[in-house]
Amino acid sequence: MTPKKEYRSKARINIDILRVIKREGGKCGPTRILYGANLSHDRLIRYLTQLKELQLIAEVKENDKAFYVLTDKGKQFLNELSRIERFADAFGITL
Amino acid sequence: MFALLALSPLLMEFVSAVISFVIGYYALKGYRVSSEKGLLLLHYGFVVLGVSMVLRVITTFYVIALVRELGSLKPAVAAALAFASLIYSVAQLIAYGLFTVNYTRQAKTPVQIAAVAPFFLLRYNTYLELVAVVLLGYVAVQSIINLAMKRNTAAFLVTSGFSFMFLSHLFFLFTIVEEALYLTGQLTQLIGFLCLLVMLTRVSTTK
Repeated sequence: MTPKKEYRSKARINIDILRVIKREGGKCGPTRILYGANLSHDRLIRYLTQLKELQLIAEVKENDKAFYVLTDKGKQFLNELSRIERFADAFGITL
Repeated sequence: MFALLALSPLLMEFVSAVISFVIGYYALKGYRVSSEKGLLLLHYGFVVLGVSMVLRVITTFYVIALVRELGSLKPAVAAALAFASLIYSVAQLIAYGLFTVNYTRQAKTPVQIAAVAPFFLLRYNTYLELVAVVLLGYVAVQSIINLAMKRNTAAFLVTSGFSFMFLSHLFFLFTIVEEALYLTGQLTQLIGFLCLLVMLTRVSTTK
Protein backbone atom coordinates (compact mmCIF):
# COMPACT_ATOMS: atom_id res chain seq x y z
CA MET A 1 0.00 0.00 0.00
CA THR A 2 1.42 3.41 -0.97
CA PRO A 3 1.43 6.05 1.77
CA LYS A 4 -1.14 8.83 1.33
CA LYS A 5 0.37 12.03 -0.10
CA GLU A 6 0.20 14.89 2.35
CA TYR A 7 -1.35 18.13 1.09
CA ARG A 8 1.06 21.06 0.99
CA SER A 9 -0.28 24.57 1.17
CA LYS A 10 1.16 27.37 -0.99
CA ALA A 11 2.85 28.80 2.08
CA ARG A 12 4.36 25.39 2.86
CA ILE A 13 5.77 25.08 -0.68
CA ASN A 14 7.26 28.59 -0.50
CA ILE A 15 8.86 27.69 2.83
CA ASP A 16 10.25 24.44 1.37
CA ILE A 17 11.83 26.36 -1.53
CA LEU A 18 13.43 28.90 0.79
CA ARG A 19 14.76 26.11 3.00
CA VAL A 20 16.32 24.29 0.05
CA ILE A 21 18.16 27.50 -0.92
CA LYS A 22 19.31 28.00 2.69
CA ARG A 23 20.47 24.39 2.94
CA GLU A 24 22.56 24.86 -0.20
CA GLY A 25 24.37 27.79 1.42
CA GLY A 26 22.02 30.59 0.39
CA LYS A 27 22.54 30.15 -3.34
CA CYS A 28 21.10 27.45 -5.52
CA GLY A 29 20.24 26.48 -9.10
CA PRO A 30 16.66 25.72 -10.23
CA THR A 31 17.26 21.97 -10.66
CA ARG A 32 18.32 21.53 -7.03
CA ILE A 33 15.27 23.50 -5.89
CA LEU A 34 13.04 21.40 -8.14
CA TYR A 35 14.24 18.16 -6.56
CA GLY A 36 14.63 19.55 -3.05
CA ALA A 37 11.13 21.04 -2.88
CA ASN A 38 9.61 18.18 -4.91
CA LEU A 39 7.92 20.30 -7.56
CA SER A 40 7.17 20.09 -11.28
CA HIS A 41 8.96 22.57 -13.55
CA ASP A 42 5.84 24.68 -14.21
CA ARG A 43 4.99 24.99 -10.54
CA LEU A 44 8.60 25.75 -9.66
CA ILE A 45 8.69 28.70 -12.10
CA ARG A 46 5.42 29.99 -10.71
CA TYR A 47 6.59 29.83 -7.10
CA LEU A 48 10.03 31.29 -7.89
CA THR A 49 8.36 34.25 -9.63
CA GLN A 50 6.15 34.77 -6.60
CA LEU A 51 9.10 34.63 -4.19
CA LYS A 52 11.03 37.11 -6.37
CA GLU A 53 8.06 39.48 -6.31
CA LEU A 54 7.98 39.20 -2.52
CA GLN A 55 11.72 40.00 -2.54
CA LEU A 56 12.48 36.90 -0.51
CA ILE A 57 14.84 35.59 -3.20
CA ALA A 58 16.75 37.19 -6.06
CA GLU A 59 17.87 35.77 -9.39
CA VAL A 60 21.55 36.04 -10.33
CA LYS A 61 23.23 34.99 -13.58
CA GLU A 62 26.63 33.30 -13.61
CA ASN A 63 28.09 31.97 -16.88
CA ASP A 64 24.62 32.17 -18.46
CA LYS A 65 23.22 29.99 -15.70
CA ALA A 66 20.47 31.18 -13.37
CA PHE A 67 20.91 30.92 -9.61
CA TYR A 68 18.61 31.94 -6.82
CA VAL A 69 19.90 33.59 -3.67
CA LEU A 70 18.20 34.33 -0.38
CA THR A 71 17.79 38.06 0.20
CA ASP A 72 18.13 39.63 3.67
CA LYS A 73 14.33 39.74 3.78
CA GLY A 74 14.25 36.04 2.93
CA LYS A 75 16.75 35.23 5.71
CA GLN A 76 14.70 37.27 8.20
CA PHE A 77 11.57 35.46 7.07
CA LEU A 78 13.18 32.06 7.63
CA ASN A 79 14.35 33.09 11.12
CA GLU A 80 10.85 34.27 11.99
CA LEU A 81 9.46 31.05 10.61
CA SER A 82 11.76 28.96 12.83
CA ARG A 83 10.40 30.81 15.88
CA ILE A 84 6.82 30.27 14.76
CA GLU A 85 7.55 26.62 14.09
CA ARG A 86 8.85 26.16 17.67
CA PHE A 87 5.79 27.99 19.01
CA ALA A 88 3.39 25.83 16.97
CA ASP A 89 5.31 22.69 17.85
CA ALA A 90 4.89 23.41 21.58
CA PHE A 91 1.11 23.27 21.03
CA GLY A 92 1.38 20.09 18.96
CA ILE A 93 0.80 21.89 15.67
CA THR A 94 2.95 20.79 12.74
CA LEU A 95 3.62 23.40 10.08
CA MET B 1 -4.03 46.11 52.94
CA PHE B 2 -7.52 44.58 52.90
CA ALA B 3 -8.37 46.38 49.65
CA LEU B 4 -5.17 45.08 48.06
CA LEU B 5 -5.99 41.54 49.13
CA ALA B 6 -9.54 41.91 47.78
CA LEU B 7 -8.31 43.28 44.46
CA SER B 8 -5.43 40.84 43.97
CA PRO B 9 -7.59 38.18 42.22
CA LEU B 10 -8.72 40.85 39.76
CA LEU B 11 -5.16 41.96 39.16
CA MET B 12 -4.11 38.35 38.60
CA GLU B 13 -6.99 37.83 36.18
CA PHE B 14 -6.07 41.01 34.30
CA VAL B 15 -2.42 39.92 33.95
CA SER B 16 -3.63 36.51 32.72
CA ALA B 17 -5.82 38.27 30.14
CA VAL B 18 -2.89 40.35 28.87
CA ILE B 19 -0.74 37.20 28.50
CA SER B 20 -3.64 35.52 26.71
CA PHE B 21 -3.82 38.41 24.20
CA VAL B 22 -0.04 38.29 23.64
CA ILE B 23 -0.16 34.55 22.88
CA GLY B 24 -3.20 35.10 20.65
CA TYR B 25 -1.33 37.81 18.76
CA TYR B 26 1.71 35.57 18.25
CA ALA B 27 -0.52 32.74 17.01
CA LEU B 28 -2.09 35.12 14.46
CA LYS B 29 1.36 36.25 13.36
CA GLY B 30 2.23 32.58 12.85
CA TYR B 31 -0.96 31.97 10.88
CA ARG B 32 -0.20 34.88 8.54
CA VAL B 33 3.21 33.45 7.76
CA SER B 34 2.34 29.76 7.52
CA SER B 35 -1.43 29.65 6.75
CA GLU B 36 -1.71 26.83 9.31
CA LYS B 37 -5.34 26.70 10.52
CA GLY B 38 -4.33 25.29 13.91
CA LEU B 39 -2.62 28.58 14.69
CA LEU B 40 -5.77 30.49 13.72
CA LEU B 41 -7.80 28.34 16.14
CA LEU B 42 -5.20 29.00 18.81
CA HIS B 43 -5.44 32.73 18.08
CA TYR B 44 -9.24 32.79 18.41
CA GLY B 45 -9.08 30.62 21.54
CA PHE B 46 -6.66 32.88 23.40
CA VAL B 47 -8.36 36.10 22.26
CA VAL B 48 -11.80 34.87 23.38
CA LEU B 49 -10.26 33.71 26.67
CA GLY B 50 -8.62 37.12 27.16
CA VAL B 51 -11.85 38.96 26.36
CA SER B 52 -13.79 36.80 28.83
CA MET B 53 -11.28 37.57 31.60
CA VAL B 54 -11.27 41.31 30.85
CA LEU B 55 -15.08 41.21 30.91
CA ARG B 56 -15.01 39.64 34.37
CA VAL B 57 -12.51 42.18 35.69
CA ILE B 58 -14.60 45.12 34.36
CA THR B 59 -17.88 43.65 35.65
CA THR B 60 -16.44 43.00 39.10
CA PHE B 61 -15.01 46.53 39.33
CA TYR B 62 -18.38 47.90 38.25
CA VAL B 63 -20.25 45.88 40.87
CA ILE B 64 -17.76 46.85 43.62
CA ALA B 65 -18.25 50.54 42.68
CA LEU B 66 -22.04 50.15 42.67
CA VAL B 67 -22.11 48.38 46.03
CA ARG B 68 -19.94 51.14 47.54
CA GLU B 69 -22.34 53.73 46.11
CA LEU B 70 -25.63 52.00 46.92
CA GLY B 71 -24.55 50.25 50.10
CA SER B 72 -25.94 46.86 49.06
CA LEU B 73 -26.33 44.61 46.04
CA LYS B 74 -29.69 45.54 44.42
CA PRO B 75 -31.60 42.74 42.61
CA ALA B 76 -31.09 44.39 39.21
CA VAL B 77 -27.32 44.54 39.75
CA ALA B 78 -27.28 40.96 41.01
CA ALA B 79 -29.15 39.88 37.85
CA ALA B 80 -26.70 41.80 35.65
CA LEU B 81 -23.81 40.16 37.49
CA ALA B 82 -25.34 36.72 36.97
CA PHE B 83 -25.74 37.47 33.24
CA ALA B 84 -22.13 38.66 32.98
CA SER B 85 -20.99 35.47 34.75
CA LEU B 86 -22.93 33.43 32.20
CA ILE B 87 -21.29 35.29 29.29
CA TYR B 88 -17.89 34.82 30.94
CA SER B 89 -18.44 31.09 31.34
CA VAL B 90 -19.77 30.64 27.79
CA ALA B 91 -16.84 32.63 26.35
CA GLN B 92 -14.40 30.45 28.29
CA LEU B 93 -16.12 27.32 27.04
CA ILE B 94 -15.83 28.59 23.46
CA ALA B 95 -12.11 29.22 24.01
CA TYR B 96 -11.51 25.77 25.53
CA GLY B 97 -13.66 24.26 22.77
CA LEU B 98 -11.38 25.88 20.18
CA PHE B 99 -8.30 24.42 21.93
CA THR B 100 -10.03 21.04 21.96
CA VAL B 101 -10.80 21.28 18.22
CA ASN B 102 -7.19 22.24 17.62
CA TYR B 103 -5.83 19.19 19.45
CA THR B 104 -8.45 16.97 17.79
CA ARG B 105 -7.24 18.17 14.37
CA GLN B 106 -3.74 16.99 15.33
CA ALA B 107 -5.05 13.59 16.54
CA LYS B 108 -5.58 11.93 13.19
CA THR B 109 -6.74 8.47 14.24
CA PRO B 110 -10.55 7.90 14.27
CA VAL B 111 -10.41 6.43 17.81
CA GLN B 112 -8.99 9.64 19.27
CA ILE B 113 -11.56 11.77 17.44
CA ALA B 114 -14.42 9.58 18.64
CA ALA B 115 -13.17 9.85 22.22
CA VAL B 116 -13.62 13.63 22.25
CA ALA B 117 -17.12 13.67 20.74
CA PRO B 118 -19.06 13.37 24.07
CA PHE B 119 -17.32 16.53 25.35
CA PHE B 120 -18.98 18.61 22.65
CA LEU B 121 -22.40 17.29 23.63
CA LEU B 122 -21.71 18.36 27.20
CA ARG B 123 -21.25 21.98 26.14
CA TYR B 124 -24.97 22.62 26.53
CA ASN B 125 -25.02 21.34 30.09
CA THR B 126 -25.94 23.92 32.72
CA TYR B 127 -22.92 23.17 34.89
CA LEU B 128 -20.64 25.32 32.77
CA GLU B 129 -17.68 25.27 35.09
CA LEU B 130 -17.75 21.50 35.11
CA VAL B 131 -17.77 21.50 31.30
CA ALA B 132 -14.78 23.85 31.35
CA VAL B 133 -12.96 21.36 33.59
CA VAL B 134 -13.74 18.52 31.19
CA LEU B 135 -12.65 20.47 28.09
CA LEU B 136 -9.51 21.77 29.73
CA GLY B 137 -8.78 18.29 31.08
CA TYR B 138 -8.84 16.99 27.52
CA VAL B 139 -6.59 19.82 26.32
CA ALA B 140 -4.16 19.17 29.19
CA VAL B 141 -4.03 15.43 28.40
CA GLN B 142 -3.40 16.13 24.70
CA SER B 143 -0.62 18.54 25.60
CA ILE B 144 0.92 15.82 27.81
CA ILE B 145 0.78 13.43 24.83
CA ASN B 146 2.48 16.11 22.72
CA LEU B 147 5.13 16.53 25.42
CA ALA B 148 5.76 12.79 25.49
CA MET B 149 6.41 12.89 21.74
CA LYS B 150 8.37 16.15 21.49
CA ARG B 151 10.24 16.13 24.82
CA ASN B 152 11.35 19.76 24.70
CA THR B 153 11.11 22.69 27.10
CA ALA B 154 8.53 24.62 25.07
CA ALA B 155 6.15 21.64 25.00
CA PHE B 156 6.76 21.16 28.76
CA LEU B 157 5.82 24.79 29.44
CA VAL B 158 2.62 24.50 27.36
CA THR B 159 1.70 21.31 29.23
CA SER B 160 2.37 23.07 32.55
CA GLY B 161 0.31 26.05 31.41
CA PHE B 162 -2.75 24.03 30.47
CA SER B 163 -2.39 21.79 33.55
CA PHE B 164 -2.35 24.82 35.87
CA MET B 165 -5.37 26.27 34.04
CA PHE B 166 -7.13 22.92 34.48
CA LEU B 167 -6.27 22.94 38.21
CA SER B 168 -7.52 26.52 38.57
CA HIS B 169 -10.93 25.50 37.23
CA LEU B 170 -11.02 22.63 39.71
CA PHE B 171 -10.41 25.18 42.47
CA PHE B 172 -13.14 27.46 41.05
CA LEU B 173 -15.48 24.49 41.04
CA PHE B 174 -14.90 23.90 44.75
CA THR B 175 -15.39 27.54 45.78
CA ILE B 176 -18.96 26.42 46.61
CA VAL B 177 -17.58 24.58 49.65
CA GLU B 178 -14.57 26.83 50.43
CA GLU B 179 -14.51 30.46 49.25
CA ALA B 180 -10.76 30.83 49.87
CA LEU B 181 -10.18 28.49 46.94
CA TYR B 182 -11.16 31.36 44.61
CA LEU B 183 -7.87 33.14 45.37
CA THR B 184 -5.96 29.87 45.00
CA GLY B 185 -7.71 29.33 41.67
CA GLN B 186 -6.76 32.79 40.42
CA LEU B 187 -3.15 32.28 41.50
CA THR B 188 -3.00 28.88 39.80
CA GLN B 189 -4.49 30.34 36.63
CA LEU B 190 -1.91 33.12 36.65
CA ILE B 191 0.92 30.59 37.05
CA GLY B 192 -0.51 28.72 34.04
CA PHE B 193 -0.48 31.84 31.89
CA LEU B 194 3.02 32.74 33.11
CA CYS B 195 4.21 29.31 31.93
CA LEU B 196 2.81 30.12 28.48
CA LEU B 197 4.48 33.54 28.56
CA VAL B 198 7.86 32.00 29.43
CA MET B 199 7.39 29.56 26.53
CA LEU B 200 6.59 32.44 24.16
CA THR B 201 9.61 34.43 25.35
CA ARG B 202 11.88 31.42 24.88
CA VAL B 203 10.71 30.54 21.36
CA SER B 204 10.67 34.14 20.15
CA THR B 205 14.13 35.08 21.43
CA THR B 206 16.23 31.99 20.66
CA LYS B 207 17.55 31.76 17.10
